[in-house]
Amino acid sequence: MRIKALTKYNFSTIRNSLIIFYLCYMGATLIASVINASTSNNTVVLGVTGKVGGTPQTWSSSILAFSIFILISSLTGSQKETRFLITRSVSRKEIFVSYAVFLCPLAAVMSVMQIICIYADGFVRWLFHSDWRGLALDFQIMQAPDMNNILVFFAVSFSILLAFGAVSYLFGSLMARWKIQTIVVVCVLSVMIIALIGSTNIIERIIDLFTFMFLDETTGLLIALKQIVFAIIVMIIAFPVMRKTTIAK
Amino acid sequence: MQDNYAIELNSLTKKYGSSHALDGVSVKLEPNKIYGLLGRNGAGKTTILNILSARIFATSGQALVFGKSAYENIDILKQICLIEEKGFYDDAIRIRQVLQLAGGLYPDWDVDYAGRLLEMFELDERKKYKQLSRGMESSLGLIIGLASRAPLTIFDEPSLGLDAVLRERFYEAIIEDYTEHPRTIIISTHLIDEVSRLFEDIIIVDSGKFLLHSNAAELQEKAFYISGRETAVREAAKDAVVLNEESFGNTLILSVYAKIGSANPGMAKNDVDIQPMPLQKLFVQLINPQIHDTLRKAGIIQ
Repeated sequence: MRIKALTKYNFSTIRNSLIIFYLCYMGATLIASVINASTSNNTVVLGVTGKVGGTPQTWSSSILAFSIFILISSLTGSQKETRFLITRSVSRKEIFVSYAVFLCPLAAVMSVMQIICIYADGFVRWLFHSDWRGLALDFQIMQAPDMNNILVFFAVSFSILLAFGAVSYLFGSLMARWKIQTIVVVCVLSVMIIALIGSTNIIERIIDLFTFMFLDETTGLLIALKQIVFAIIVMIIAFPVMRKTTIAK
Repeated sequence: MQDNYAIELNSLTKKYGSSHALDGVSVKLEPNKIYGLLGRNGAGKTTILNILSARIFATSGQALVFGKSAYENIDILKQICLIEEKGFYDDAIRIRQVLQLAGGLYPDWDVDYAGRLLEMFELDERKKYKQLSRGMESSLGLIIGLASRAPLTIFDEPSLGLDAVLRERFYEAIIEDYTEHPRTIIISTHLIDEVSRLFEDIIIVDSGKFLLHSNAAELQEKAFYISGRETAVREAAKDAVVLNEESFGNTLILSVYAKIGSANPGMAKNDVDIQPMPLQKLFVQLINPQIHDTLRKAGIIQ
């Protein structure tokens, strides 16, 4: 009952922003589709169309949806939100579970929206007698050959969002637990990025990790599985961190 | 002997760096009473309430609610409704959503009563939180506190920003609802005289230390102003603890703490004027550190 109330509350706080985001996202996708379909192939508008490895590909602008998801996850796990719920006599365990419960349907909704946008784009192109753009032409086809299967596409998008959401929740919890100011996090991350740029090996290892996590030559379902396991591990790390969060300034 | 206390604080200490926000506070509160938690700014009232509701952690000692610690104890947490000065709500959230959330969190939530309170406090449930004035924010907190019917309901500065009419409505509502649904209510406030009629027991904390826990009526029965000619006043107050004295020409006014009647029959007979001391004045006297040794010797404070 309390988890349901908390999940409902979490959704109510982001619902309007999410609707506005998807209206803008869908609008931009359709405008770009019309421009792309009515002009020559491979015109890049708003990063929607491009050429990958000599084959015309269409960017799904996933990165935009992922960014918004990360933002929502961090805000939900942020000091302000956690403190607010603690002051409503909610246990840390309930806050954590309600967040996990909130994360899954949100990721599912956003993955479905992603697919709808791709098909809307394809439909507009088809109306303009251009090539049908299905999932097989989406940028995410690079992740695995079977990404043109709608269920596999959904599973991979969903699990990527969960993995990103878990990581951003961990960062949000760290900030909430130790009351780290955003500016400090930004500075530390900047220093880390500079250090990484200066160290080729570390970059290679990180690229290896990302390749292992997000790309696979054989099957999208394996990618999804790895990402879900990764998300669960990160959440297990995040729990003891957020469990010690207090409302003290 | 009462075993099932609503609240038990055992040597509760909270340190921030080297400074003590609470220094070994111990007190036991019986259930189903209205308590007044009094103290100056920074005395440690809010710290006690925050530790009780597991919002912050004690450095040492124990804080139990209905016999258990509230930390990660959902059964206890849902019995605690602590209303603070500020709600920390999202600016875009509407009052309706705030009440829906509260309804989902407190098992004894009374939807109809919340609706009646909305009318009483003249709040429009469609309003967004950012549109609320300071007084309206307080009203919303009071509605949640009252309609939650939580077995432990705590109001920390409940009437901040409320006009006199709404404050009176709150006091009436709390008495009415408490009569029908007895529960443990703690009110921490600086408007002592105004709220004093609600209190059954009073707890005073000062500089992080527990000072006094007493029945409100008994406490007020013992506090008086004695005024008149100096010799008569001093004679009347000879067995009492003098909290303060002021002279106006030939008239001496003593603030005293004593039992009138059987304990000090002489006091009432003398040619002096005896007036009861308002609770707020008594509180100001009791937290005066210069007379703490005297008060401790007399067993008035701890």
